[in-house]
Amino acid sequence: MTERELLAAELALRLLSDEDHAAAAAQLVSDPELARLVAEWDARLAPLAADLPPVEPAPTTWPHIAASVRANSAGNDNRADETDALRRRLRVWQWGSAAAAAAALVVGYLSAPLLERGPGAGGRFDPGAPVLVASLPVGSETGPRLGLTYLPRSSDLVVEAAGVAGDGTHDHELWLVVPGTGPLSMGVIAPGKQARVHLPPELAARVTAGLDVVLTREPLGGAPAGGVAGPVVASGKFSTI
Amino acid sequence: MPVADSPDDLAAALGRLAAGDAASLEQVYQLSAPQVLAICLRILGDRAEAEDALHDTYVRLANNGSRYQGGRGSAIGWLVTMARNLSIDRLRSRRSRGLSVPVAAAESIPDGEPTAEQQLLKQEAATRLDGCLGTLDDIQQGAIRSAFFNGQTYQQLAEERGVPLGTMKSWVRRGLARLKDCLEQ
Repeated sequence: MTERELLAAELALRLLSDEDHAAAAAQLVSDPELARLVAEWDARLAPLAADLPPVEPAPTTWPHIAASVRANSAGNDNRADETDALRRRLRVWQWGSAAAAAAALVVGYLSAPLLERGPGAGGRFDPGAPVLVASLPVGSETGPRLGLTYLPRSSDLVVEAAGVAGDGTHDHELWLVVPGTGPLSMGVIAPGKQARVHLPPELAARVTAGLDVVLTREPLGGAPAGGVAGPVVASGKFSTI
Repeated sequence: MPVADSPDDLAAALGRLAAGDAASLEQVYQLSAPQVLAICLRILGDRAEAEDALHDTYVRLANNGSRYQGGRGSAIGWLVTMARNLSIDRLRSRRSRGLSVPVAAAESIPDGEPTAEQQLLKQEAATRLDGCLGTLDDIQQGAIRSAFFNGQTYQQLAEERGVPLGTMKSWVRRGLARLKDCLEQ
């Protein structure tokens, strides 16, 4: 059996430590062949469960599920509007090259202490707020990375997603993990591209050094509102430069 | 007993769900929930939490749409896999919050003794898998079963059996390779 098949079996059985599992599961994002091998092992092993005596669920469980699904489906309509708005911003702000993103970073960083200008559109300008960066390894520490640069002057987030490949059946969604509040979505990222997203004030106010940020794999269109977020494929922390 | 009488009905209901018929979720639930709850309960060892994992499984199924592909294993196996993964996610997040249920409590959950009715209903695939697992060393077979039913990692298996991590890894990997060979014969 090849090393990849063994890894697939380990992923299916969930034998690896959380860290190793997350790193290996992140490979599935860009490796449909590995995903196929995992699905084959899932199918091989699942018949084990046939030995378990069935357990009748509580009578309240189905009504609870049905209510959650209805609530999600109502929420999805609002959520779709929000996602559309983010996508429009992504389209407006999409930058052509890594050089342009780097230039944005340099200009943002240098001009912040020098210019006493007002806030960028929609953002509150704190002249002391530093530029924050986060780097999320996708797959392994040495592999591709999702780079985030937050420019507090304009409340813009520059997303460098060149290392993230789309598989055509999933989207990847970026979340701020705010203590006490839970994850807040920053939207679906565009794989393989650089983008600049303007964060609304309620999100911008939360972006601080030390804040965790995670990338999850979701169905196309992003995680359903109120539902369970998909698996985390990369994580990192904002820090000052 | 709606579970076992209709594997084809379950696959068909999943197919309708995939095609956008949201109402078929209830039928999928009725045909599969007792077996799906069994794996959640086996892994989590706590009835309330197992019901939560069951809830999450079907909500996720409704939200993400059914991606069950008929050629790859049984429909119930596909659902069990999804529920098992969600249960293990819960188990590990509970552990990371320091809320681990003692192993003894988890093991008191009824597990592998199938009823006569179940034996009759047992699919060919399960019988074959049992047969192939039976060809492995006891320690390999035990580790693979513990990983499947208890959600244990290499590290936990090694600690429980008092062997180095590397030793446990190579035992399990050899066992998995033999298992695959046997199943493909």
